[in-house]
Amino acid sequence: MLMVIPQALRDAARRARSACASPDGSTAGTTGTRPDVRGALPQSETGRACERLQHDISGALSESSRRMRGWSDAADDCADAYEATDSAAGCVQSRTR
Amino acid sequence: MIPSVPLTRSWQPDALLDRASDWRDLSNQLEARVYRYRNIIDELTASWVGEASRAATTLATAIAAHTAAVESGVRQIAAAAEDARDLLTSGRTAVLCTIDAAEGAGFHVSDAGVATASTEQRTAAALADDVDAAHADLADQERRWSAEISAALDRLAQLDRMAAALLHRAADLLPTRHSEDSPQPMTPDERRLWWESLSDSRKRELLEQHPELLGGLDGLPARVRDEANRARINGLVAALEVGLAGHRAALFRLDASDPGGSDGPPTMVARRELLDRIAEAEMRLRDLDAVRSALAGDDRLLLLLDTESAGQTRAAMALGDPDTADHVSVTTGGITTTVHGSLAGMVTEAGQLRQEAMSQLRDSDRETESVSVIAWLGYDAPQIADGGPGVVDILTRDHAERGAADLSAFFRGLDAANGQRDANVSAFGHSYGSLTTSLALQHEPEHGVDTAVFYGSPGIAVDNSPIGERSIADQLGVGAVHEMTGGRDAVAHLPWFGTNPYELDGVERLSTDPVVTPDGIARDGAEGHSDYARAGDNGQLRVSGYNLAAILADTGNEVPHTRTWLR
Repeated sequence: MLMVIPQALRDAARRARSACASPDGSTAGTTGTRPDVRGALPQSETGRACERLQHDISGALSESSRRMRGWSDAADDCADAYEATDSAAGCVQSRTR
Repeated sequence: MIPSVPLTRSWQPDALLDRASDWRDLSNQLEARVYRYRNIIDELTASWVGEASRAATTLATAIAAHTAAVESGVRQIAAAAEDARDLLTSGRTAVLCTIDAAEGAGFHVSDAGVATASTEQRTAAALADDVDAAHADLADQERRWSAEISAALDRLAQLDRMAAALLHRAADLLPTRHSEDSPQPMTPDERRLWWESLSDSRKRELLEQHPELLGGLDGLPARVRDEANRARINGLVAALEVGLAGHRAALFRLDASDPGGSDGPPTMVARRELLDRIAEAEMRLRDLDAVRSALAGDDRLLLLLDTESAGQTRAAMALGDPDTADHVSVTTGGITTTVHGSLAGMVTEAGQLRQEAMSQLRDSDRETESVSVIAWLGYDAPQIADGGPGVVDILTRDHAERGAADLSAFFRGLDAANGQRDANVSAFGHSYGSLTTSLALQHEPEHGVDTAVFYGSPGIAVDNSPIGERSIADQLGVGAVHEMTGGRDAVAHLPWFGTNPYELDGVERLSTDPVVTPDGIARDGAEGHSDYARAGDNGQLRVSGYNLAAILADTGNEVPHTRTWLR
């Protein structure tokens, strides 16, 4: 059985995009008035490791968000395709077997 | 690195708590994000049923799981940062308490942690009934305080390394640590793909903010590595000069505090350590100076620059872009090669080799083909250190085995960065570098090298079994193997590491005798151990250099060996 409500796909895509838009890992922990760890621990291995970690975390978050944005785009594309098919069939919402 | 006293005072370990708090907040936000993802998936399945829906929910579930793994990793990292803070705080407190105690006892503590008696204490000692005993007591106290402070600083350095290790281990919990932003564990092919997958802005950001991560990454484009390595030179020089000035100042203070050396072993040990640090910094500065000078020529690419991770500085320089060249060679030096002592000469020889290769291509009506020649100083070659341990080092394969892994990765990196061009790649190993090259070619298959040439070789690492076993070329994974041995090259006539290449079946011997080559030039022969790649007395490459150029450009012009007295 195929059951599709294209608008539901668009809503899901929009909500997924919204969910992955924050938090922004690239700035987490480096904003506000708190000192940067590398600046607070100059020339230390720990400070360098911390900076690298922040970089790794930002990378992991970017990857996660990138995947979900890709998924959202695909969901929108699916909705477009279903709507195009249904328009050709003369209806917007379809229930076919 | 052992922190100085001012550096210790400046450290604020509590910043790690702030960062841990940020990471915990981030983790909580990610937890909420995962919850929203799963809600979206659940609701969508109510309004979308079918094959595509199943595929979409599977994918979205995997993304939610990935995000949950990031959340968990960040939470663990936050805990590690708190532990790291505790370690650093305890070490720092111990240093500062020891300094406070020394200063409370009337001693002045220098930036390097050396305790010296105050003017008042010296005056009091001078007025004591037993002046000598009073001065001796003061000196003894200075030594004890200095030793305690030094031990506390050492311990702080240890704790700093432990704290960093905690954070590194926690970072392994991140699911994408080994994918997008940490290319270190990848193969050279994967690194190339990783780099190509990044946006231009991300590439620029990495180059500007983390050139130290990119410069040595085999598989990245040569011009990217060059930009990253060049960008670091000024900073490395500045840091070394600051460090050197500090070491010299500390030595001056030490000598001033004990001009006659009467304090005995403690002063001698401290002095030795400072002298070692000064020598190390001076050597690294000479290395960087050599790199700067070598870069002054045209069309040069710095493919490797590492002044920190090994006993010797590592560098690799290309003349011509190996990513776009049709013909590429990599020359690996041998005993006593260093960046400060050898890079200039190797680059000069590389330039002559490249010119000769291009000349032979022109003579063959193949002037459109391009050539890149690389001087590789990417391992700790054995050194002869005043008759010390270096003499023993030469007689072992240890340096070559360690260097082989890096050289193998370098070969594979060239192959990866060269993409679909499938350049003709030659590996040239001189002296002990022939051993390193032979090991590198067997370290990993698919190294992309087509031809190996060993010259002045004291033996290479191959299985010299009777006929019927794998050929030497098969063992090395190349199409052809050549060798050159000068008549008076004593090194190449000693089988230090097994059989000399000229004794091996399947290795084509090339001439080192004076000869007029097909281009009509009378060329000197190569007799001594250092002659092969150097120009002769007439300014032209010797026959051995001509042969290398012929192999490099694949012109077939190499002059075969004809004498028989060596065998």
